[in-house]
Amino acid sequence: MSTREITSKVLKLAKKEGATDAVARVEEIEWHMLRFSNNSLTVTKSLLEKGLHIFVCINGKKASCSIMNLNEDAIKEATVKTVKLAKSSRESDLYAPLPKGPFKYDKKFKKVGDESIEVEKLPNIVKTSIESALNSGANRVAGSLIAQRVKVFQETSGNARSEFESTMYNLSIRAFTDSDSTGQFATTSTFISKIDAEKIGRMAGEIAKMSKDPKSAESGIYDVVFGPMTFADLIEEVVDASSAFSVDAKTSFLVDKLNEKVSSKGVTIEDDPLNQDAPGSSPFDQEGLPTFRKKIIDDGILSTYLHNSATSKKMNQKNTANAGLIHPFPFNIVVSEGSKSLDELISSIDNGLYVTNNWYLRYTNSLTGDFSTILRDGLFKIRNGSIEGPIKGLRLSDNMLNFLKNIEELGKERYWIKWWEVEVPVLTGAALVRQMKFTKPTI
Amino acid sequence: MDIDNLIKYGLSIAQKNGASYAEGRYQADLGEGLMLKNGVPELASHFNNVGLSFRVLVDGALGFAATNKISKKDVSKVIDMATKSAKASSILFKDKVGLSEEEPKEDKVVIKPRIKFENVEQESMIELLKDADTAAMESASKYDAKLVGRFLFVRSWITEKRIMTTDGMNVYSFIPRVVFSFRLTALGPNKLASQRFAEKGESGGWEAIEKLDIVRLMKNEGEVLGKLVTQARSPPKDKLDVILGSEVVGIICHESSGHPGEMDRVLGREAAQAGESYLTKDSVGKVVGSNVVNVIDDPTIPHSFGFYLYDDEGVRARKRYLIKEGKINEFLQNRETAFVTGTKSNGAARASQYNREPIVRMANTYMEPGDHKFDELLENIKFGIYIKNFTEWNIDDRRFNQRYVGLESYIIENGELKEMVRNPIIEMTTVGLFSSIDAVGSDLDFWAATCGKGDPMQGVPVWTGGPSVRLRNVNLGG
Repeated sequence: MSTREITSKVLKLAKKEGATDAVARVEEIEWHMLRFSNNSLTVTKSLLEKGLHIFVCINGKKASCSIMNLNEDAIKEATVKTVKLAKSSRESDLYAPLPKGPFKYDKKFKKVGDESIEVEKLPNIVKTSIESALNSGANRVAGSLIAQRVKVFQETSGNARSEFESTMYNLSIRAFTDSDSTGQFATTSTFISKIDAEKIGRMAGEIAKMSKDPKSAESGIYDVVFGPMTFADLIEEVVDASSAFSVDAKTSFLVDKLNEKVSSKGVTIEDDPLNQDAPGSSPFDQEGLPTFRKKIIDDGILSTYLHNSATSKKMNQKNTANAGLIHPFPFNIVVSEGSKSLDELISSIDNGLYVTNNWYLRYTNSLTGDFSTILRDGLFKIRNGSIEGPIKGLRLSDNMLNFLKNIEELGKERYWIKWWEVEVPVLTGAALVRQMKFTKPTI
Repeated sequence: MDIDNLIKYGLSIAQKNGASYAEGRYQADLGEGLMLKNGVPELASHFNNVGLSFRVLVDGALGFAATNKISKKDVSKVIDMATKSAKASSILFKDKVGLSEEEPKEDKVVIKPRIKFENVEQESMIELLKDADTAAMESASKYDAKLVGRFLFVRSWITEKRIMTTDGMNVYSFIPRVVFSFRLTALGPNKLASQRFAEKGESGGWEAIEKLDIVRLMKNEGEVLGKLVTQARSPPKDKLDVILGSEVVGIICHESSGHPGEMDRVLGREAAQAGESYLTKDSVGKVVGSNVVNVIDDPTIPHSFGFYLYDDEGVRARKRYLIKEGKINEFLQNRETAFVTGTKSNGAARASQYNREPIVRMANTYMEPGDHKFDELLENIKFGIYIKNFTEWNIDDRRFNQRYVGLESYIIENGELKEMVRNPIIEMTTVGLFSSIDAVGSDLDFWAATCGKGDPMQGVPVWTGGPSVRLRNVNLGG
């Protein structure tokens, strides 16, 4: 069966079985990865997949399925079972009929990125990035390069039929001078030509070189410059918390904060689904609505939550076309451009820290925003406006609302960040944040 | 062509293409689940994740490829991708990949559920979750607390695998699993909030959920959260003795013994993602804790969430002492790492889905119980704290600097549990923590979890567990 035949049959059958709303989405993926460590490839990986996702409602009773077995009988069985599950469920308080199409989508975004993946170019990108990190002072390098091409075809019972193709490249490099002295940087694009392997390798290598022989750090409250990798991770958390599903479920620190000042003047954070360079782009959301760019935080004010039709109806707020049929999500996150270089941000601090990377962020309580995350890779003491030297062993242990409130200045050089820890592409520079709490082990 | 013959066909093509070793795996994960949000069923869902993958070794270069298109034509295509990709990049494989020699195995492992998940009416699952939800709310409300955010999930899936290799492994397995998880957010009248997430699961059928008695479980969780947001005081700042409960000990064993004991991390294979280890491949015998500390990883525990008898390279699984009497005893190894270290695999290769490569993973990681009853752990403590379970946690990428934020926690005075305290923090090094343990309880319990590792991410079912333990002279962190 062709992709169109699959979605059409699913919708027809779902309706016949009693569904009031249905979405069928087929994703066809070609995916390649080169993984490396200790300056050597460890494995090459490739995937060829075609999967079907079905979502049905019988008024407010919802069910979904995801199947990889796409023979005709399996599709029929999955559709019937999904409707049956919905029938025996109960009505959710989060329900709205699917938007009624047909809709017009921006034709420029029917295809994003390269026409195809040139697999033969991938080893050379890895080679260049490793050599660049080594030439910058590292003595061993690890990382991964991903190349992906996705074709999506989606049809809804609301008469929204949409299709889209895109490519995604993602290069992440971690450079070592020794086990305690490391640097990491990453980039992503829809075009292979925009993956600057030399630059990413060099940036990781330079941080690793600067990190050599770190001293033990002291816990305390510091002014801090977060590099783009860390700032991207923290901002991704903020945007994730702006999903109306999390707000409705009372698991977000942004509950009851709409239209309030949550950050400093000058801080604007947007969701941009229509960006030719950004791999999260899509001209439609999972309900088939045309997507658009919107400000989540506008000059420090929380201006919207991310909505699908159901959350928008329940909260009586404008639909932002961010379905997620259950959980609205962002496509690409854009942090506004600041006016200062990294050096100028660092020079604004008398006694503080420069944090280049972090991982493992967990909440004590996502409703209050209390969290901690471990700092990794280059971590530096700033004294009298300059980097004094590398340190190690700290954890950022603070609160998300406090973090947002204390952002003072944004950097002007922005990078597209996506790596193991940051799933949604984020365009951001470094940022100066005042008075953040850092802790370390007691024994 | 049936699956077995399709895998054999793939292996023969791989050998014709120049592979010195090839491994084919059919994996079908079929499951369903139900989510109750704030008392209302938000979504019922099901999935089938079915496909084939192959790993090939060509002149020391390792290639992996997978597809869900199950036909001769598509198998040829992915084998071609795996071998071509490995060959095209072979110059970049500076460290040639190899696999340890292992005894060929042919076997079949089938775990039958007593009550199949699909035979349980969805209506009765909804009723059960609603009863549990109501029980949690009612017990919290006795303390004037509201459970403002409530997620309850039940999930079940069956993992069916056939693994064949060109060096004689041929293993079939069929393992069903079920899990109940919950996330509760409580708010007190004074606007204090607390949050709790936990999972209980087993390999088996619906009978495991019935055994849990989730209504009673949730009633207790609601009560604890109610007390926490209305009665708990700030934790003390003095140096004190600490008793950690089974759930905390389980996560510590997983994060601070299991992960640093994975040989692929030790060798740097995960360096750019989950990181490396504070241990080196020569650390066997290194003292990392007091002599009462014994940490085990054992995939073969019947009914366990991380259960398997053969790993995803076809190697027979066995119990492994990671730490014995406070010393590093053994690392977790797959065939790839065992080749580098000149040892044998101990059956730790796991792949979460058909489209993921088998890498070194934990299964059921726990501290071996000692002989102290809980009262005996308490009786010598003049002033201390009991941290029964936890909320936030994290650890650095070398697995040395960790933090566990307590949830249900109590002051201990003169050997007795007293008032509740809010969020005491254990922030210690791995060696500092294991070395502070002076007594180990006999009250072994296990908790279910999904362990994340790999690139792309692989979440695998595991148990974490242990008895209660006592730590002496500890400063709380934060």
